[in-house]
Amino acid sequence: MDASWLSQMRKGVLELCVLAIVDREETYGYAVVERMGKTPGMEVTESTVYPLLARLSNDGLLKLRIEKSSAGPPRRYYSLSAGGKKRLRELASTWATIVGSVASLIEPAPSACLD
Amino acid sequence: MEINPAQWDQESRNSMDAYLDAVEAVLLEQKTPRSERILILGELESQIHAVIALRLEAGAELQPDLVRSIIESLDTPESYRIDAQHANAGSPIGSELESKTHTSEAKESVSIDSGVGSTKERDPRFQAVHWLGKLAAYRQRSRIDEFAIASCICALGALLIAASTGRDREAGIVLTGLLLTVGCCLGWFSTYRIKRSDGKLWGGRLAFTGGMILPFMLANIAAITLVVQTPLWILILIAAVLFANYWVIRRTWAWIASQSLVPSTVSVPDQQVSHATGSTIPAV
Repeated sequence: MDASWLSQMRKGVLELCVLAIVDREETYGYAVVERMGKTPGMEVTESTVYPLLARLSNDGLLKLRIEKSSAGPPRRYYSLSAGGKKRLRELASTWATIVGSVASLIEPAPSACLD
Repeated sequence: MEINPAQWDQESRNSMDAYLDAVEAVLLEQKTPRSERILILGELESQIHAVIALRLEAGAELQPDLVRSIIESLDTPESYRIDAQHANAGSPIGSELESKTHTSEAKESVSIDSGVGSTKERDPRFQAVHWLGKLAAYRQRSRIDEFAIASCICALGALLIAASTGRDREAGIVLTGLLLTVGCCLGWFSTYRIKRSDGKLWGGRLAFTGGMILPFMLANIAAITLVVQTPLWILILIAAVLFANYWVIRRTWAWIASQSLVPSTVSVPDQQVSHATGSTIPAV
């Protein structure tokens, strides 16, 4: 498969995926990277996820809770803000529409089935 | 397993610092907002510690080679360049679209900094648009805290009411007191929000002024009322009060500046299970 095509697909839905992961439970950056890395077709790394998390947080879509750690730096836990939930709903709705529309287009036509 | 960074040898620490510095340099070059840089670098540092903890659990020993190999397994600093992300197909399109103010701003400023005076650069309209863009981008990512403004408006309103109180003196005093109290509370609330905002909100001095105005008015009134019976000493005492005000303000401001307001540790789970994969990620 053409790598650039896949990458473009991935790019378009990355924000939706990250918001969906954070919506499931309060989580931290590395857990998001791990989760994304193990999702087939969505294998992205930290250089993609962390800037996105930072931007979403900066835009007020994610809430941040900082917890001190006895070893290492404080860990940042992310959860969705009200704006983030709204954004997730919008993106999910758009995604569902796109998936439905594309599925209807790539399904074999009825006449083809008859053949 | 947790390992205190103090136990790291110098070489390991240097490796990590050099990597984080290199990433930060790329982010700075991209003109990534400070608050985002802090988050990104913090996440990277956390990840390095988490991976070290995982390796130690697996039986590895904390040696410079371990830290070096972990850092080598991470994305290169150049991967944080937006162009590189574009080429590697890693960056979200939403990010590119929505943060285009940052990117275009960065590209514009690069062209201006590195250029030798193209027509576009010399065009005053372009310059105006450029600065307007910069201003808009700045306002988008960093805004003044509205509670700081509200606090100062309350304080200012109280002073105006106090100055113009004539006939209905009691009502004026009550309203002044109420506004000062509200302004003070808003000021401290705003100071707290600004401190917690990690650089996203500004207006700390404004908020501080609003938060301090009521305590200082009360203190000053009390001081003047106490000494008004001894007119000979009034000038000296006023000077002393002013000096005390200055001293307390400086001390309080320094104290506020020294507070990180990071919540204290609240039962960090030792391990957090990734729901989808079932893999465990240790809390470090």
